[in-house]
Amino acid sequence: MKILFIIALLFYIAGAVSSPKTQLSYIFGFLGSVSAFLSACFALTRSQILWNFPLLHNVSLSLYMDHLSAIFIIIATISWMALALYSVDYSKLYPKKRLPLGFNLSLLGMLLVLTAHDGITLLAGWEIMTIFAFLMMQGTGKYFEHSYRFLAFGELSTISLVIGFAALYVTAGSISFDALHKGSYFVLILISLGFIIKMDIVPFHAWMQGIYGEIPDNTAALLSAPVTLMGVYGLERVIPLLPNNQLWDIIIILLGAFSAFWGGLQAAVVNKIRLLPAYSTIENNGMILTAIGFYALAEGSGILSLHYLASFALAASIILVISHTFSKTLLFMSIGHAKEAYNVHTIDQARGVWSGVGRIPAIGIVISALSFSAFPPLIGYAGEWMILETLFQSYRFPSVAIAFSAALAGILIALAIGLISFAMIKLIGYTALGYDHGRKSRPIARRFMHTAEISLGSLLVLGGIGLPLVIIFIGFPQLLTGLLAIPAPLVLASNQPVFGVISPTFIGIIMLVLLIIPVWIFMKNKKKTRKVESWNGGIKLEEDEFFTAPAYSQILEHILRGFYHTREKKSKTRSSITVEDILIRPTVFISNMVMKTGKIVASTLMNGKISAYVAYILILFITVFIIGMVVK
Amino acid sequence: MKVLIGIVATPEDERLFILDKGKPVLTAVNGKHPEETFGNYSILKQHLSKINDEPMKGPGVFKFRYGPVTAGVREAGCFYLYTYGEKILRATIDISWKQREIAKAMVDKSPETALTMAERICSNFALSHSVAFSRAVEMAVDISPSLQTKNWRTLLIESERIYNHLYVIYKLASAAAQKVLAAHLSALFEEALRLNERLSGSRYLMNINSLGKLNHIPEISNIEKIANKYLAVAKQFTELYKHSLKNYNYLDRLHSAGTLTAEQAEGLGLTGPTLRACGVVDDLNDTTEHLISLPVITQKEGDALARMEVRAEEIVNSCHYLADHLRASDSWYDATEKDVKSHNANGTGYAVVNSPSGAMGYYVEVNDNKMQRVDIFTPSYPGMYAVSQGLEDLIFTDFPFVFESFGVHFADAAI
Repeated sequence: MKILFIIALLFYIAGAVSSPKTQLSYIFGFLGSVSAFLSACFALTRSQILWNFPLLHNVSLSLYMDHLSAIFIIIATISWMALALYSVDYSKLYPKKRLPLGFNLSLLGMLLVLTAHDGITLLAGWEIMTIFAFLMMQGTGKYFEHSYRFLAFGELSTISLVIGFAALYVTAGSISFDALHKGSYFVLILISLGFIIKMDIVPFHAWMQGIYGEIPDNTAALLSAPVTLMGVYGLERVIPLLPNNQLWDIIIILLGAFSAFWGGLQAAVVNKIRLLPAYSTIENNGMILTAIGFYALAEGSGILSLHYLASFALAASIILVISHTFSKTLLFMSIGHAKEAYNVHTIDQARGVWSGVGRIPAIGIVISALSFSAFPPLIGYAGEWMILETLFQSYRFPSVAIAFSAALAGILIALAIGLISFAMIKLIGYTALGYDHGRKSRPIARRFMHTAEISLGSLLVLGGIGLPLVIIFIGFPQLLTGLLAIPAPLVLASNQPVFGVISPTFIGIIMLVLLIIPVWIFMKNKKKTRKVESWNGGIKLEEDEFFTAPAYSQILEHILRGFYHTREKKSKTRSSITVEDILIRPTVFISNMVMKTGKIVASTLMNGKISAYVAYILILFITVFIIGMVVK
Repeated sequence: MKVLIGIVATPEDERLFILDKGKPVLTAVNGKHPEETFGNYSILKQHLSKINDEPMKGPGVFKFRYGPVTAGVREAGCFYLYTYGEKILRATIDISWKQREIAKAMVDKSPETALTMAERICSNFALSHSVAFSRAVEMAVDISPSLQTKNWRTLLIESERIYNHLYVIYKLASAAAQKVLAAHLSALFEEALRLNERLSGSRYLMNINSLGKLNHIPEISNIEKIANKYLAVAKQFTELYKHSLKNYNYLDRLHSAGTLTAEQAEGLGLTGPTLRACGVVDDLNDTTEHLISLPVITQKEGDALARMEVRAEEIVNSCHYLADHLRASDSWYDATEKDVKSHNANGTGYAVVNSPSGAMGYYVEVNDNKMQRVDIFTPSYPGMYAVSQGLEDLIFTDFPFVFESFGVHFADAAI
């Protein structure tokens, strides 16, 4: 296991070193991920310390792989492998070397995060991941002012973690994860906040707008799935270890639910093709956060009867993680494939991927979008059922406040699921299966892209049908049972005695028998059919007479204008509707203030005048001197 | 009150066809600026077949085409609704699909043949077209119809008004999914058509009117029964109407839909129920020179509900009017009826009729007992402009309420 882990790190370093040869670099990235995957497979049955380096008294840097790390490494590496393969072809479109350099080192950073067993190692991995992901954002060679917002939020997360672990050191005398149980509520809040920021939970999502449309596709996928996964891992790692606080748990539940709702709400109306899955990430991570919060609440209550529910909530969070990581990676890859082939940026422009670009990316979009829409038997269906089923059982808590909060969260998440389905249907209907308007895509290399897309698509289907195996893999076999004619362990039960059950395996079999087989027989024996154009009032439809993607969402923009801050501009010949994510306003305000302050400082102190510069140095010196004296 | 009904233009000059205090007048332009007096001058001057045809652009804006052969559009007409999904940003109406050039086709035909053609322009307004054409030709060739003919024409126009208004309200109720109300109104509409048949021999009042006379006079022996039937229609309709006014689900859909101000209505040259629903008292009832004039019904709001209310009250008034005058019709008998003759073979004539949806005007030139020129001015043409304007900034759901409430027809707008 240790050797495989070291090989993985070496492959990533080799990938970074060979970044001028972009394809080779990504192949190293792929091999590194395979090694990391294999090492995690070993760790599923046996935990192992990978590395331990005593730095100071009571402070050691250590890498450790246990069952939880292994699960998350396996999930992450599947996404990384797919992305590395995809990037081999993609690198022909963006041959800049900073992209594979950032990719490999970012994966290395994430692997450190997933195996870190102390605050310093975690922070080292955290910073490597953030900085090199930022480097990847510059991969197209364009300058993005907004990408600094990503860095700002990344550093905000780091600062929160640094202060959290510093506080842990003060109270426990150690920064090892083993000492987390001695941490205070202050530590709990700061460390979990650091991870929550990384999950892009509202309002820490404000960096996304203006970036997702411009950055390379593999970077978008990496930021949306594996990078946010690190936040989830961090929470899953520390929450069970830190002292429990009911109020904080409730805050987490409601914040997650609101985030899910807000993500779904915004995804339903965006028109930029990559911003839609980006907002879907907020929605999904919101649900995951709620599940984790619910787990903490149920487990921390000390009520024995809630133990099953706590396990179910934790399993829900991991199933959602699996669903989100695979679906989102596949969605970004398929969308990126179509976007690059068409060289467009909006859902409207990328219509008809099936006929215009290819069937594999179209199927990739359909499968991932259906998974996000909780379509059975895909794994997304299981995840979203589990979170709703968890929240349905809020009545089991004796406290009315908790029951009410959880029920409120359930309402928000149910709305979020509806809204995200609305958004995903737009992707399926317009982008994947829409009319291509005779548009033809440009030829791009796609062999590796197809391999990656087919692999992840298959995993999404198999993960749903084989849900019992996945549940056993993540360590919750006690949640499986049998019911009536369905044998154990094909039924997933949300409580004992049985409260609610599903069996995606059984649904899959039924669908296969009732749908696929008759369709297959029909297709095989179908007679010659005559195809005619659909009737459109007797005249052929002109190009400006097709229903647009923004039109699909306009009714929402109108009805929910309070949420969207919908504004209409109309002149005699032109009309437009604008919507706004009002929760990014504070970030924009702060960003503008920083820029204004920077300009003022630049023009008054750093304007090339020696006298001003000397004054600046003096003021700084005096300020530092005074602070030093006061602290002393 | 002066309303510009149409423009009679030749390469040499241009004359304005005006309804002045209920009387049709032809005025030469003579270098004046009629566009300053009449807001609808440019509309009538250009006489475009694509109404309000200015494309609307913008992100996500597209053109939703409704027609020309689509379920829901009962005639060959086409709406281009510019929208970004739900809101109608602009409504362009293409009436050219129904363009038949009937006025041109009438040229060189005998007045009798041309009358038959006029009657078939728009079956809902068959009698209005027929009477307006007859009156214009009678003026041109100097025929004086008998009092009996004039009176019967007036009554038959009211019959046409009753069934047309019932139809419009039935369509509004159907659009609002008021199934019971719509079914009752549909039954009343059928009853009105049957009464038409009993009066004229035709459900749509065709072939009864002729130049200077009627082809046949309704049988006096049945008149009392028919009069009672009209009173029954009025009673049943009043009951339904009052009941419908208590249904907020129905009223909410008509309220504020397709609102026009009096200025807008006058600017478009609208007449009839649409203008009266904006609170304007017009002189259309004065186009009748005989019998007692009907009261002018008005409303203030100018929306689909107001137009419906005007029509509803007119139905009741017309029913009572018909019943009263049918009972007195035996006193109109005129022995000279069969001796109507024209005194000229050449001439120019014009006339206006108070059709169910507004002023319908005909200008004719007859030469040697042949139609030399025919100009037809219908209420549906400016009505289409009103529909287009009324639809703007509403949502798709409002479409049927707005369109139906104006009581316009493509066949009537595109001659």
